[in-house]
Amino acid sequence: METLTADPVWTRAGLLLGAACTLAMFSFLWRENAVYRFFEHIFVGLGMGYTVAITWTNVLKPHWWDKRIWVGASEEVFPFWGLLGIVGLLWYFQLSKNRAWLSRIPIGILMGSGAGLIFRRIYGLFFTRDGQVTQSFLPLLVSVDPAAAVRSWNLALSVSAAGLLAFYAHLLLRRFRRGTDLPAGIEIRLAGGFLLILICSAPLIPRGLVIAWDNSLIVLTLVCVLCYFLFWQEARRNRLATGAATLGKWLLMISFGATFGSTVMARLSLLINRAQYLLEQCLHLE
Amino acid sequence: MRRWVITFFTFVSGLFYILEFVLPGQTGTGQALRAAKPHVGEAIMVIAAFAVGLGVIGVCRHHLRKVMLRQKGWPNSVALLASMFAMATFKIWEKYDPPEVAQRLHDLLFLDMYNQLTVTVFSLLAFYVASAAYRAFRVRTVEAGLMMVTAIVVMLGQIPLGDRFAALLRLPWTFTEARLWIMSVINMAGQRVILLGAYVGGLAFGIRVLLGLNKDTLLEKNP
Amino acid sequence: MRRNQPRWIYLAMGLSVTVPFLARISFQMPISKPVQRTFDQVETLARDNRQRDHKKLALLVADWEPATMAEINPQVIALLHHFMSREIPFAILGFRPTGPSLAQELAEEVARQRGEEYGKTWCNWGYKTQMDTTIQSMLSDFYTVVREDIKGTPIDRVPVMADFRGMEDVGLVAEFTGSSCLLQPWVEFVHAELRTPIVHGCTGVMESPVYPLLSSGQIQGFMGGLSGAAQYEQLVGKPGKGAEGMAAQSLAHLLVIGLILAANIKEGASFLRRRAWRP
Repeated sequence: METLTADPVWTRAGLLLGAACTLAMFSFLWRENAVYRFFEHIFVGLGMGYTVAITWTNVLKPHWWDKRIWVGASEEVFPFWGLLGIVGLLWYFQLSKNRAWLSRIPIGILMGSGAGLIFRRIYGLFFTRDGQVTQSFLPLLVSVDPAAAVRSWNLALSVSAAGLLAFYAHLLLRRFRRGTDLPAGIEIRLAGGFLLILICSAPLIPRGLVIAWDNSLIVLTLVCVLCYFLFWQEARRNRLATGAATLGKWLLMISFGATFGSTVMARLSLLINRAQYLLEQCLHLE
Repeated sequence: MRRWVITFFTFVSGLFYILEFVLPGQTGTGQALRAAKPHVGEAIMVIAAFAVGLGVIGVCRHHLRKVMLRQKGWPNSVALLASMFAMATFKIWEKYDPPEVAQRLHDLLFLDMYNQLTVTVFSLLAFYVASAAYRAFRVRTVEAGLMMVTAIVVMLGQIPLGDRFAALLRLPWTFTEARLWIMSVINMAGQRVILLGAYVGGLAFGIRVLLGLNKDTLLEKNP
Repeated sequence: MRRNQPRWIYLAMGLSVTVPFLARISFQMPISKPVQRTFDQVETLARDNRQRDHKKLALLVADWEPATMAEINPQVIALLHHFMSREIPFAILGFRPTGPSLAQELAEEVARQRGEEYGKTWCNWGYKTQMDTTIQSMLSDFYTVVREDIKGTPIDRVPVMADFRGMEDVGLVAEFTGSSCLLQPWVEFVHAELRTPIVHGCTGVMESPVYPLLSSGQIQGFMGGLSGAAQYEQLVGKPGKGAEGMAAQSLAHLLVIGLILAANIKEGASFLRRRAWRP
């Protein structure tokens, strides 16, 4: 089949037809109407016809029909490949009332092959050298020069102090609004917590080690989201599990928000393509 | 008896690929399985392709009945059947050196009608996204708030104007950097867990299918 | 008024998408790391091919349909310009019925602009079903699975396939799809066994699930949506539909953000009003 040269008559007819199809589908935005339904049926018909034709020309003809009497390398003849058609035709027993169970044989073959391959798929995706599980074991402490370590330590202490103060302010506000008393010895506990962070992090400075924040956040997200999925029942009884599951839920919401943002771009791109088609190709407003 | 026949075919087709994966290539069986793998794969590809006719038969039955009984909307059914046979004819004919008119008609049907109809149907979603953004996306909980803030940061990060906004607001980072950070750290970890959960579920389902423990779909009695 | 409210929103959306085309606004895009890495991977293949006796093919996996061609077509066109400008031979294969035909149209369009020819620069292996078992079969014995090209020519008679022995002669897999689960088999089978570099082109919807694969190094780069296409067009120096569409994207995004904020401000105001009136 040769590639065709552009013909202005056919091009114009194609653009007219394309614009009519586009505007007919857009008419649905006003309300459902007969024109929309007509073109919707054409759309379904074209899709089905295309799928059937391409399946025959690209799959069934070269891989089954042309091979049904197969001559091997040493001129021996294999008629068995044609018998594959019998297995394929078992699909159509779905239309029979009494023999519908035969159609489950090809379904079973496809499902079985997929199930057999799942082991190789899981190994290939998760457990190779750059697999998903292997790459989740990330370093939480990384070495940098001591000056950068001190700067990072100062920042970490400031953030911890700010976080503890914010928590204390929240408790005070709760006492002001609802009259709930502060927990006993809360000031001593918060000061003790800050001292603990100071003592535990001080030995890291001579080694020039700092927390790899991104890696720590990734590991925290992995653990908390796993807690949310796996331990949702225990979360009701255990405060640690409740906290981890709640944090996991919030981090998952951030992930879904990111997906929503990307989805908006995807949907808008389709509409922009229609505007480009109608304005540039059909109306030549370039 | 029927159940055993179906389970046998399911198990054998799965066992082939499991043995091919676990047996070393140096053994006789391993080598035989590896030699047979392309032919088995080709056979499975052909068996799967045979199913394409089922959809066609179902659609033809429904719409031919509508046309013959002159039910409501029968002209649409005529259009569906005509377009299906026209597309199939011209697509198959394409392989056998057709005249120029036939090639042009094929291009008209595929490029100027089918492609444009498909893109337009899905482009309607853009309008519904905007409508849903106004009517449905209400922040009433902490989770919804987190989702909204992240969505806005990501949306600003994927357009060129977002960085100009960040410069206007004198932010120490750009929305593009913020978006990349959110996607590569928090979103990446969340999606990794979802992927892990999906594959673990797939593994459990696969084992049940192979062993014939999955009674509800493949092995139920005829209705 | 309430019943017609969505129609005003539809009108606003239509205008936000149309006006930037009429006003001919365009923007420069900042290049993101995943797109830069895709570009660098193709450059690496071109450089390695110059040092080899026979060139490795790039495999363009066309798994998209007309529904997603608005985002994928600009990505593929930019990539094809890159392949042809660096003299990288490539093949097209698809596991979606319309994919190979759509890719063939794009390749012919780019080839016409660059004076290239089918058969010498690229080959189209056509459409196949059952992705998992077919990829497995291709890894064992390529010529059992691919016997002829999309035009019916026996595959070993296509000039670009003269030195092709099997999947080990594929130097890069560029997988383009708008669906989920079509990238993973290439990572699980081809990358795991042969360490073939993989780059990916996807719609905006499928961008989020790709990041774990990018982070672990199982894919080397990807282009996400129209934004990714615009950035790649900038890198190869061939502005096209991706760059054209970013102005409209910007305005439409601002409309959606505005609608979300407006709805929530309205909701917050009515909440405060209800609390103020409470006895």
